Amino acid sequence: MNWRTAVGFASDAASSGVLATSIWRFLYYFIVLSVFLFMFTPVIFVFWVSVFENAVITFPPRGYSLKWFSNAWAAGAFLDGFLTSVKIGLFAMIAGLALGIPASFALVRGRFPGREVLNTFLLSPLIVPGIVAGTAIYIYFIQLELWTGVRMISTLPGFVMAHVALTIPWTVRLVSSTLVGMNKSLEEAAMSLGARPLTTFTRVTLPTIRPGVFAAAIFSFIVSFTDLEMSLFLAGPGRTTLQIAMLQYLEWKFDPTIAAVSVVQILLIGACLLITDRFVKLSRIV
Amino acid sequence: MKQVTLSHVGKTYGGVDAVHDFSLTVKQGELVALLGPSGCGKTTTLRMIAGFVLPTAGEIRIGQHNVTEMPPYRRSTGMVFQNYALFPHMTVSQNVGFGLEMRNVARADIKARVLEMLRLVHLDHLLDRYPRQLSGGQQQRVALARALAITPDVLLLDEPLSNLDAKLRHAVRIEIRQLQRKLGLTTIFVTHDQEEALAVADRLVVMNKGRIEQVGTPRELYDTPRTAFIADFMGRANFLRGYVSAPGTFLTQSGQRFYFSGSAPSSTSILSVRPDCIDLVPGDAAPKHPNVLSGIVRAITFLGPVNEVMIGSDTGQTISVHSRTASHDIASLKEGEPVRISWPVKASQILDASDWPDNEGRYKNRTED
Ligand SMILES: Nc1ncnc2c1ncn2[C@@H]1O[C@H](COP(=O)(O)OP(=O)(O)OP(=O)(O)O)[C@@H](O)[C@H]1O
Ligand SMILES: [Mg+2]
Repeated sequence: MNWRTAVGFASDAASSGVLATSIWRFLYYFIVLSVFLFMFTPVIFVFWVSVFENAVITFPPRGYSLKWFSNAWAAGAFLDGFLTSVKIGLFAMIAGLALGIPASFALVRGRFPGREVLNTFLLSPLIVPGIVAGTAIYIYFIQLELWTGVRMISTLPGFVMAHVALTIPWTVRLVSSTLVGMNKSLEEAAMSLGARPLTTFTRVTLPTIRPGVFAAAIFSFIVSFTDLEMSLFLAGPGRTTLQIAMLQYLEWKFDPTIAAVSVVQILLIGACLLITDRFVKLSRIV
Repeated sequence: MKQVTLSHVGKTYGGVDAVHDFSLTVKQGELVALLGPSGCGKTTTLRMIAGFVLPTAGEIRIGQHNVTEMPPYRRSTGMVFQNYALFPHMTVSQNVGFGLEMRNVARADIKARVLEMLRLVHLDHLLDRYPRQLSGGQQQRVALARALAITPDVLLLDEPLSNLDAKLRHAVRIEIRQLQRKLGLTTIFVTHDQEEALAVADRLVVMNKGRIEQVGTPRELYDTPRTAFIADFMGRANFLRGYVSAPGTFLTQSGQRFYFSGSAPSSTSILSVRPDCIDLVPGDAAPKHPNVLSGIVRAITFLGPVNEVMIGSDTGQTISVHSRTASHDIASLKEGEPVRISWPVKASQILDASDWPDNEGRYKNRTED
């Protein structure tokens, strides 16, 4: 083989290599883009439909208008549902943090028999289907009402208690993962500098795990706010969540109002996630 | 600054001794280095002094106070951690002032003291930086300033230099030593690097498997190691197994006779001789010293100022010789050729062989890291 063929051979190999990589790269981006498109198409349609002028949803729309947003506002049921959902979400979030943070400490720092079992137990609501959990809680509440005479169904405390089952797994998971990653010598450093245990906790431990606590708060609120299955069993006259209000509206009417409500909700939750992401990289934790 | 006394201190983890019967007095203003292989109990000892670990036996005193069961926040120890453990959510000056704040020092006084401490470590221009905005060396010095700000009774350093690169490590260790001298700090310095320990310490404590193996000045440990473990740990040495056949005479297992001076332990022993104490005997010349051994050159490695010559000796063991690059002896040496070596009587050191594991060189229980 003389030098000419040698060089030609080498450059052939090189260019076919470049071609192969660019094909792979193209395929890669194509697949990524397709997945994103697949995921976002419904959202895009919701945004689009929310500004249709016509009440009966047909494509293409006759014109565009923002009247469905004011319609949703005027309907009242959505606003009531929204306020109820926010209230339940906030209380469930606070209760979830109050129970979940100490639980995380016990799980991460404690050495006691049954630690693994407790961990699995606290995370289990994540894998129980909402309908099943909802049924269970409904039956439990009915029994409780029969025994004690205290009303649980369609009351705020009832909702909050049920939703705490949704928020605890998130709190435990997010807080304990930041706790695991925490450098324990920070606390020892604080103590060797004269900080008592409580001061160490408030001045060093809490600030260090703050991102996890913050993410837990936001996620708790979101899972409570968007829950439909469990709430279905607990809702009653005068107390419905936003999700149930939407479902009820859909039962007798199918117009862009529902899209308008969805748009508001999507923007709200999106904003929550963006705020959280500033504090903790979600991709690292969830 | 106070004196620290440990009396028969022990720590058992689930039946396993991490530290056993540890007794030591660190005098006021003294720098003692705890040295030993990984897992020998250095950190555990330090953490017992700081109060993070409760001893299962013995007593610890700082000054006149028995602190054995005192929680860490009631003792006055300045600890510098291997990973520095700076509070990530506080600025440099907040970090350094934290201990004073815990002591309810007035705000203005804190500010002055923080500045003073940061000047000491040459970081007074970085007051408002966060730890993540500092280099490793700077973080290390902030950690030191933070520990010193509370005027601790004792300064505890757990491998404070191990996260720095070689050059910085050298510079910071000199800095720490100077600061320690200047302020008269009672200091306990943990390291597993013997060179570092030799360089900074007034006294060394060599630990092995939770026990003190030997305590002494760097020179004492280097020149007169008591056991083969110490000799091995203090720098590579050559070991020949045998016994003392007559006063001043050592007979190896393969029958060679070597001479030493001074007293020696009875029964089976180890003769230790350092690579840099051995001379190469050129050609047919008469050996300079009475201890002579011949062998074959196995390998010559250039190490800069010295060459390491590995010799397969007639005792069956490989002997390491450090020969100065400038000397003529090394130039004529070739791999695979016979060679003779010799060393002076006083370079032979007889060590107790009771903890010696096998015929082949290395110490069995020593874990390299
Ligand atoms: N919390 C603990 N539980 C059980 N065993 C422990 C604990 N801490 C330390 N040990 C054991 O005690 C022994 C001494 O550990 P220590 O951390 O003091 O070693 P070290 O000399 O500091 O080692 P290194 O140089 O690797 O830091 C080791 O065998 C270790 O496994
Ligand atoms: Mg250690």
